[in-house]
Amino acid sequence: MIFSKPRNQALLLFLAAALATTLTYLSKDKQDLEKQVAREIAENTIVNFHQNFALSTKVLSAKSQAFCINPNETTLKATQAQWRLAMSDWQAVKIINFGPIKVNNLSWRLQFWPDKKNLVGRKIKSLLKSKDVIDHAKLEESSVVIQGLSALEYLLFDRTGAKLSHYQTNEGETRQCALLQTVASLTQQTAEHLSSSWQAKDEYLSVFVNTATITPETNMADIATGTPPLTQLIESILVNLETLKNDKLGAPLGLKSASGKTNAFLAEAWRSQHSLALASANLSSVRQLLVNGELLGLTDFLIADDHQALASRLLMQIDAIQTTLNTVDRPMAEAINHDESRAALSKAHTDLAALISTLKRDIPIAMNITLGFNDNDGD
Amino acid sequence: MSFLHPLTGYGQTNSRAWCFSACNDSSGQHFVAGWPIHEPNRGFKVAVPLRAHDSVIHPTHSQVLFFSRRPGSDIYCIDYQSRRLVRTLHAKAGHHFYGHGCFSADGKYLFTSENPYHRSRTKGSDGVIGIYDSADYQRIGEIPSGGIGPHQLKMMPDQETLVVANGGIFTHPALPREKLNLDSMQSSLSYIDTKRQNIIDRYYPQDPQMSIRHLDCSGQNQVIMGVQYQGPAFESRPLVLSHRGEDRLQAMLASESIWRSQAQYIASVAIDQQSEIALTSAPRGGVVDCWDLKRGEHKQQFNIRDAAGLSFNPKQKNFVISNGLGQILQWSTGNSLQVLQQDAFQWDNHLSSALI
Repeated sequence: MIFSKPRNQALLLFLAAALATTLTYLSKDKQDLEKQVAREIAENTIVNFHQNFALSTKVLSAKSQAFCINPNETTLKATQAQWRLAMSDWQAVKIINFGPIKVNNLSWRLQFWPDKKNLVGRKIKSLLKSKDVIDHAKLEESSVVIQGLSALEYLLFDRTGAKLSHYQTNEGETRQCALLQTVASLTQQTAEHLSSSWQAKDEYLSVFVNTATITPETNMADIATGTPPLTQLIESILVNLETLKNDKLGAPLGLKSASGKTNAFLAEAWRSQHSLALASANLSSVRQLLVNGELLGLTDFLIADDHQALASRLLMQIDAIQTTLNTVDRPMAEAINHDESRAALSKAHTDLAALISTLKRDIPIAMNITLGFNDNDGD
Repeated sequence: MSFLHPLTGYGQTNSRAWCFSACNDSSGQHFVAGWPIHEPNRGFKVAVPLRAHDSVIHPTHSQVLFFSRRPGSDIYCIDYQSRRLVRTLHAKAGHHFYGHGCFSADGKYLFTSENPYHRSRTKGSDGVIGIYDSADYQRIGEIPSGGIGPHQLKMMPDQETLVVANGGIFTHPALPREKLNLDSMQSSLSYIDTKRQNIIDRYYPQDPQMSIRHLDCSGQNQVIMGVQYQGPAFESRPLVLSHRGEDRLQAMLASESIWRSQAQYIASVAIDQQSEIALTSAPRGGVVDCWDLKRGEHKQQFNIRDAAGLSFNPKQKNFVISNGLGQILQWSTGNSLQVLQQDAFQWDNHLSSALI
C-alpha cells in the first residue's frame, strides 16, 4: 500500500462507511469531507508551496545584492544556485493557477515563458542600452517580459548577456546590477504578496474552500457559476500536466512542429540548462498536492470513497514518469539529440498522456465531479 | 450559433423550438442530440464515432447535419422526426471539415468550410468552401475561402452572400491539434458571392494573431465576430468585432477588464431576432457577455462556468446557453438566468435552435 497516514486512518474508515450511500450529488458527509480535504490541502501544501517560494526569492534577492557588491565567480555561482532553487519552488506555485495569481497577470510577471521570439533577451538588451531609469516603479509598469525569473535567468546565465565582466565594469555595473537587483527584489515582493494571499487569515482561502460544493439542495444556478474546490484543483493540475507534456517536453522534442525537428531553445530553462530538473520538480509538486503529506489529500478523498486502486494507480503513474525522467543524465539540449535519452523523454511524454487521461476520464467518474469541458480544448 | 430560417416555420402556431448540440458522456463517447427545448425527454441522442462541433438545420426537410470537429471528415445527417442517423457524409479525399457549414435559403445547397490539407504538408494553403447538392449530398464544387483555416460561415440576409471567418491558423491532420503557423498567421473575414463563386471583399483584424473563428449575422447585415487571440497570454485584444459595411472591422467597446476576463477565447456568437443584442461565450474565462449592437458596446456579463453553446430561441424570444456541466440555461433582457435542465452529458461548443 502506498499510503501511510495513521492520523487519518480512523477518520477515513468512518468516512468510507458514511459515504457508502453516495448517489448522484455529493451527500452532506461527502460535501463536508470535500471542504475538509480542500482546507487541509490549502493550509498545508498550497501555503507551503508559497512560503517556500517567498523564502527562496527573498534569499535570491539578497544574493543578487551581495553579488553586485562583490561581483566574482563565487558570488555569481551562489546567485545562480539560488535562482535554481527559486525556480524549482516556482514549479510548485505555478500549478495553483486560480485565486490570487489570476489578478494582474502575476504568473507572467513571475515567468515569461514560452518565449519563442527571445523577447526576454531582446527587451533586456535594449533596456540596458537605453537611458531609461531602472527602479521598482518603472519596472512594475514595464512589460512583463523584463520581470521575474525569466529575466533573472537571462541576467545570470546568458552566454553573452550575463558575462561577469558586465557586472565588473563601471558603467555596466551601474545598469546591469541595478536591473538584476530590482528584478530580484520585485520578484520577491510578488512572491510574498502571493504567499500572504494564501494564508489562512486571508479571505481567499475561505472562498476557495466554500465555493459551490454540490449537494442535493444546491441551486442549479450556483452549480453553473462556481467551481467546487477539488474540481478546481484537479483542473489546475490538468492544465499544468498538459503544459509539462506539450511545452516542457513535447516542444523541445519536436513533437509540436510540422518539421518534427528537435529544438533546444524551446526548453523551459535553456539558458541555465536546468529544464529537466524543473520538469521533475514540477511533477513532484503535483504528487505533493495529491497526497498532501500526512494530512488529508485528494488521494485520501478517493480512498474514503472506495477508490483505493485508482488512487494507487494515479501515484504509480507519476512515480513511473519520475523514474523515467531521472534516467536522463544529461541536459535537455543534449538529451533531445541523444538516442537513449530521447527515447526516455518520449516515453515520459507518452506516459504523461496516460496520466492526463486518468485525471480526465477516471477521476471525475470516481469523484462524481464534472471537469470543465469546453474551457480546456476548444476550437 | 443561432440559426433560424424563414422556411422552418415563422408564424406556425403549433411549431416548437428545438435545440441541437453535440455532446459527450462521462466515458468520452460522442453523441449528437436534439430536443424540444421545454421537453428534453422527447429528444434524441445518437452515438457517433467522431466528436462533432456545430450543427445546421435543413430549411425544408426534417434533417439536421452535425459536422465533425477538425480534423474530422464526417458529417452526420440525422432525421429528427425518426430520430435516426440516416447517413454519414465524408469529406473529399485530402480535405477535412472545420466543424461548420450552412444551407442556402431554399435548402438546395450546403456550404462547408474545409481544409484542403493535401496541398501542403508544411505551409498550409487557403481553405475552401465546399458546395454540396443537398438532394443527394454530392459535392458539386468549391470556392476559395479567402484565407487559411475557414471556420464558421453564415448566409447573409440577401441569401446569396456568404460571410466566412478565416481563422488564419494552419493545421494538418498529421499533428491534429497543433497550430503550425502562429508567427506568420493572418486571419480575415471574407464575403463570398455564391452565384459568381468568387470573393467579393476581405477584411483583416488589427492584429494578425486575432483569429476570427466564429460569427453570426443579424437580419440587418451586421456581422458579429468572436476572436481567439493567439498572441502572448499576458496581452489582451478586443475579442468581439462588428462589421456592417464599414471600411474596416470595428472592435466592440468594452473595458480592458472585460477583455481580460474572456481569457483570449470566444467560443460562440449568437444574435437575437430583433438584431439588437448579441451574446458571446468565453468558456476559458467562465463568462458570457451581452452586447448592444446599435451602440456597439458591452452591456452585461454573466459568470457561467464552462459555457460555450449559444443560440436564440425564436419561439420564446430568449437566448439559450449550454455548458460543459450538462446544463441548459435561458436568458432574456430584464430577466435573470434560469437553468432549464441538468443532464449527465457535457454539451460541446455550439448550440443551434429552430422552430420545427
